Amino acid sequence: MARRRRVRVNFLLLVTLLTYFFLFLPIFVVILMSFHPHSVVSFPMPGYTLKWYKAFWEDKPLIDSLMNSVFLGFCSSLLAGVVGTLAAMGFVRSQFKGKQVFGAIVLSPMILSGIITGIALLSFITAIHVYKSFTILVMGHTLLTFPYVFLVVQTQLYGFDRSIEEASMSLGANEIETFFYVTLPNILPSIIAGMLFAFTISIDEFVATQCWVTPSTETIPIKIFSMLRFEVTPKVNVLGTIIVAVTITLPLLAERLVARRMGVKLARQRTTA
Amino acid sequence: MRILRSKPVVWLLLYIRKRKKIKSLLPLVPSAVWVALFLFVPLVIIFLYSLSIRGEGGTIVASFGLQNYKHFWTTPIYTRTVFKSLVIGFEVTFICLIVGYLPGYFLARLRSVRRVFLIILLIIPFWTSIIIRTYSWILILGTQGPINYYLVKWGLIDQPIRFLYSEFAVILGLVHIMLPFMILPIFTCIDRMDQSLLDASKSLGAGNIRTFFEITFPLSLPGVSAGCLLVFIISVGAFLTPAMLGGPKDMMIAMLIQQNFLMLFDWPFGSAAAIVYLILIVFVVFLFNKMVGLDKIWLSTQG
Repeated sequence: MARRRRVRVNFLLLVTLLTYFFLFLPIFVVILMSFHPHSVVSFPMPGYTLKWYKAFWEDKPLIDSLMNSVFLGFCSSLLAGVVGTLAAMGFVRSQFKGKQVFGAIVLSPMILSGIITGIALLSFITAIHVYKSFTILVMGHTLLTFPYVFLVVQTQLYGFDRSIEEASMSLGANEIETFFYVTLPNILPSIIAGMLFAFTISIDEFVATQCWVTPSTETIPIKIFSMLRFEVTPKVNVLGTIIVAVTITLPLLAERLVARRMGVKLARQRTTA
Repeated sequence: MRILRSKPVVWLLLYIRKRKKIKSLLPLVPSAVWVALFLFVPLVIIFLYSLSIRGEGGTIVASFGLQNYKHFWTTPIYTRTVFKSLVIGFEVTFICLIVGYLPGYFLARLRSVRRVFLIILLIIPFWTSIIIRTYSWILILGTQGPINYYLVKWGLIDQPIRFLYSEFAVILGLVHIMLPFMILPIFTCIDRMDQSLLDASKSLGAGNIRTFFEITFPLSLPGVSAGCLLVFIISVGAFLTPAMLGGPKDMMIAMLIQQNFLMLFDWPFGSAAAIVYLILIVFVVFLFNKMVGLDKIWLSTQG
């Protein structure tokens, strides 16, 4: 009996490890291939080189679009932080008819195909005779990313101890003061976590972004996609490695922030109990 | 923060404080305006476009007619695109369920530090650039890639196989992207199951396998449904994977919309395709709500 149980657990472990292998294979291959010495990649590796990193560093248009993406991600995650946090506050602390419908509508940019969001904003600015610009990109990316902030902040707000707000109000602070001095510092870790998620999404977004870019506001995924069309260059592997490094570090940081906060909360609960 | 105590702010607060309802709803305004202005109002515009006619040079001539929809449904290429999107959606959902259930179950059963580690590991690919991961499959599946290299080396095949630019590659790429969307809800659902039910089942004499099929599996169904709905909806609307890994025959509906908007400048027809896609999605969600109940799924995924 004990033996059979062990075999079953090991089978499950094996399936799980294979699944993880499948999930991580493309990430490893991109990193490995960024050291490939030839311009047309082949397997097995004939050797290792850093020359594509150098070539990448000297490719000014590529670096420009990378910087553009970083700046766009920064602007839109700031805006998404504000919009998403407010939405979460309102959503958790109010009761109204159609609350579930409101939740579904707020989350719909996450589930709908990016192309719908893309052509929606494109049609809108065309209808009101506004040209595509960096501002439009920020607006669009905020639309695509604030649901993530909403989700993360909402989860923390459900476990928020409101008595400290009441204490603040009874000591004479008004609603806005209470929000800035009491509520905000307490939910800040999850807001930052949500904004890091938003940044990650913004840096990676392609499908909707292709409807909003102009040649001077090209983002890095747009650049990668057009590079793959016209020229096969190992610089894409280098770029991939860099993006992988960034997109892995940021969410891990976010996870840590949320986890530490939860740890503090647990500790506090334990001391009061 | 003197400004917070200034007269206008205080008056405004006093006014709002009197109206409790407005007060609690006020924070929802920015998000509601954002979604309404940039997504839902534009969808009305797109609906109006879909009734119009394409004029010279990509202009839009306003009219009220269903000619675009008629053109859509009477042209086999377009109906095949819709059909293909749905078929790929089903296949990806099915494969994700088969592949993802056991890891989800395994993670939920683990009770140690390893579990936290494995969950974080699962989230890493989830957040890693989709375009880079999809591009990587081009390297892996290519005729000079590692898979063909080992297949030839081990003598399983004589010539490298052309995996790329086929429905197989599209499905593989999509399964790869969607798998965490299936594993995580299943994990959450099994994890929050009442442990005493399993003990009861075992103490009443059921074996591990019988306990799984009569207790664990039925109770994990909300997680399974949530995963299936997410995977299906997102993969039906996929753009990057079929565009990068698919061949000409693997056109999906998001690509059709993109082509008409950004390359052919036939916005009225593209709008009609977008409306068809939206109707399909609403129909799927509606059907799901009838069969499973969305509120149950909503509850099961609330971590």
